[in-house]
Amino acid sequence: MVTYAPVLRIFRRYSKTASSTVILIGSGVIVGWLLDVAPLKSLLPGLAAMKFNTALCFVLSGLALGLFQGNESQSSRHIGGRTCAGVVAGIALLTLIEYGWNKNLGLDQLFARDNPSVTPHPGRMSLITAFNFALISMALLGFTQTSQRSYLIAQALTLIVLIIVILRLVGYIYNPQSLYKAGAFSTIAAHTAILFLLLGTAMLVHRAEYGLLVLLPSDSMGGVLVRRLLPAAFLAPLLVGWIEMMGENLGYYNAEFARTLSTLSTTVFFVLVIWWTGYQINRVHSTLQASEAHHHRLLESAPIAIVNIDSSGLIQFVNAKTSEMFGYSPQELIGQPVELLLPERFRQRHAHHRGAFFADPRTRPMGLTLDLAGRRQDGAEFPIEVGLSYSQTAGGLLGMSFINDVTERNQRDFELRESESRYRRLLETAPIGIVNIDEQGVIQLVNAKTSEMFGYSAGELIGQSVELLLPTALHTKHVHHRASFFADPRTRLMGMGLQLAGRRQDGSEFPIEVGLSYTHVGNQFRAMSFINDITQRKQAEAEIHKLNAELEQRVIERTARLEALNRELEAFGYSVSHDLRAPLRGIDGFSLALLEDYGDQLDAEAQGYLRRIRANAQRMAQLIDDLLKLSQLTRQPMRQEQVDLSALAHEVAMTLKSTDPQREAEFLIESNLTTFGDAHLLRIGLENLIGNAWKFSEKQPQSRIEFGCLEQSNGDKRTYFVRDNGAGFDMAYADKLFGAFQRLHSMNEYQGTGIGLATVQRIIQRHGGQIWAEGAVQQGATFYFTL
Amino acid sequence: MGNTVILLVEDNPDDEALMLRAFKKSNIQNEIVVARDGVEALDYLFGTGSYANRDLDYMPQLILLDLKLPKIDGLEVLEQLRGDQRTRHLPVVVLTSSREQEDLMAAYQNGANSYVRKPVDFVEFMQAVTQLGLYWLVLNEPPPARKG
Repeated sequence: MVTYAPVLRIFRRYSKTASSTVILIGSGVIVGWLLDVAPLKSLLPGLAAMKFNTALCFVLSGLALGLFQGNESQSSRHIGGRTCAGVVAGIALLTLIEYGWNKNLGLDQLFARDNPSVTPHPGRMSLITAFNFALISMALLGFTQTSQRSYLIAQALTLIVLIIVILRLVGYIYNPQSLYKAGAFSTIAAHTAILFLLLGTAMLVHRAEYGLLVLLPSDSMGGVLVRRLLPAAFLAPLLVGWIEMMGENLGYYNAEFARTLSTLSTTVFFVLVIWWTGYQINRVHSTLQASEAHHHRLLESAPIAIVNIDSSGLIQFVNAKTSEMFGYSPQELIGQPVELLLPERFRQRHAHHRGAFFADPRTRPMGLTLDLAGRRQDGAEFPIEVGLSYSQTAGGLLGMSFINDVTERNQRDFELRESESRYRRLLETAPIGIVNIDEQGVIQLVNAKTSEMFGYSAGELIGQSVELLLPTALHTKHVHHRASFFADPRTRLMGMGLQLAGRRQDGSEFPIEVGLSYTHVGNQFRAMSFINDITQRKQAEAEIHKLNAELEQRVIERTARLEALNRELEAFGYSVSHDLRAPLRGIDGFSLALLEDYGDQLDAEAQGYLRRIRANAQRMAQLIDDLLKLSQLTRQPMRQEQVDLSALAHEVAMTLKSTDPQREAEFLIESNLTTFGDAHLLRIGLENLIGNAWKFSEKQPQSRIEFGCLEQSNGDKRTYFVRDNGAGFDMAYADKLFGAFQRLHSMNEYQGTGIGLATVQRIIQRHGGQIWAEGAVQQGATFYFTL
Repeated sequence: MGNTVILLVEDNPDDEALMLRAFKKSNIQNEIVVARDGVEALDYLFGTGSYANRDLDYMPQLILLDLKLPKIDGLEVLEQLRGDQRTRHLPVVVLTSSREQEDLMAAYQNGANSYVRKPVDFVEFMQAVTQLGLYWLVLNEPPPARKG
């Protein structure tokens, strides 16, 4: 039962005030006796004087109570209190003995002399007063004992005293005349009664939290009701009775009506009290109901299963989540042993645990039990976490268990661990250095590659400033970089231009490339840098650079050599064309001079020799000319223009025909063949090819020379051909056809220098094409070329 | 008679002999002055060196100029004589063995009036010389001489 502290404080204060008042008034009376001041003795005018012994007992009782109100542990106060109470007990008992044995023990006027005319025993307190003081003194002694029982007895004795004095006081209220009846030895004077009332109530409430009155200062509904209703229960009947009596005495109504009025008033009063009490209880009850409903909803909507069991392990209560979690309805569970919810293998152990718990119940939070499993109605098991608590109820001790299904959490934990491990593996096996820093630039994480790259162990790096990994010269710059990155964190890929130098533990530096990203840890940014040692790449780049430079140099040198060669060749060509021809001219010229001037002195044979000399000189001149033409072909710049090959072939054919109009020759030239190329060179090419065909078919009775284009194209190039029905050639020598000065026929058979096809090949090659030939001896020849 | 000189600039004695023979055979009877290198040709034209006492009022009616010459080559001779007031209008026929396009172009560039390639076949050579003589000595109207 909860004690309501403010009420208790009021009680204590009342107790002190009342006891002090009693002491004060008692002391006043004693002074009155000692100084013989009548008004002090009787307190109120007209009342009988209070006996000296009575006043002394009040003072001592008040003192005793006052001493007890102090700190209980102070034994000196207790001894004082007990002595006071003991004196009071002595006076009261002796007085009672005087009454019982009708003897005067000299006690009555021991301290003060009374007026003998007033009472039969001057100075002796009344019998009831002595009885009351006997009870009071015993009660005071009882309060010094701290047991519940002695409090109960003390309070009971005090209550008896109170009932006696209230009875007397009510009598005085109803019949004021009796106040002034002098010397009634069997009654208590009004002032004595009031002092008893003060003293008794003070005694009752000074330990209100114990014994009979425990309800009074209580915070409970009962306490409230008692505090509210008690004064009414005292005063209302008193008032009703008084009104009834007064009315009757004044003659407003007779005794019968008075009785009726009294009964009715009492009935109304009780009805009102009961009604008010019922209303209050109802109000509290509905509040309690709402509260209970709230708690019920709390239980039912709790995301964990809640199971209450009694001390024998039988289920008393389950909430909705329990049913959902285990697949049983509440009806199926209530009254069943709680082990029903556990897998077979746990049951025995759990019963044992349960016994231990009920023997020493204590609250245990969740998460301290490991590897516990629940069992569903369908037999499926799932991991659970259990918290325990207990509650003492009217039905005995209840164990309360709070059960959480941790399947998902375990799964999550597992996945998290898995993910963590994956991430860790990734980190550790990454072929690049990974370093995480916080906003202050302090290294939080490094992977194995970083250690390998920089020569520090992970432990030596974590907690250090990231600038440790950079050359001193870069520190200031890097701190700036870092600040601007955290001000605006964004992912920057590697190779986006941030190339730095790293510094190893041994002080050596090496080129690195850094990519950046960021992550959050809590509400903090972390920069993640990805570091690549690009030493090898730099070396490779330098190597490539060097090779390129060398290559370029070599190209320049080679070009220069080629140009020099070209110039030499030109000089050679010039000298050939100029210098080699002059002697030939001399040979020819002087041979002719011999023939002309001395022909009559030479016989036919000599003249024949001279003619041969001339023919050879001329042939050599022809060879030189052809050779020069060939070299000029390669040196002349190429032009690109639309060339009508058909027209060119026609012109060539016409020229050839005009050299021998009598010859039976047929030209079959496909029309509208055009291409892009150098018209001058292509004319020379066609002149040679068609000229060859003309030459090698001259022995046929009917020459047939074709020029055309094959249907199928070879890529973006077309294949042309020149075909004749002439002497043909042996395919075994096909590869020799296009060599300079290569001839497959004797001079006697066919004229020629052997330069023609070499020239054609060079022209076609300069146009990016190819040339080849097919033929057979006396079967004609076909020359193909692509453009 | 003084203005019927043909200046033959030719270093090859064979060619010179054949040329002279061709002139003779073609009945060209002009006086032939032979210069055997570029220097000699320029000496003749400008009256210097061994021709210091020559009367420069008489200039050759035709210059037959080989390109490949000792000391100063034919193209330079041509350039110098075209650069001089006295010889600017003289008909110059480049007579050479070269068939090089560059030579041909350079010759005309420097003011050659004609470019003839010496054939190896002497018959053809003689025909060429004959035609040259006919054209330049008979048909062609030379620019007016400075004197007369």
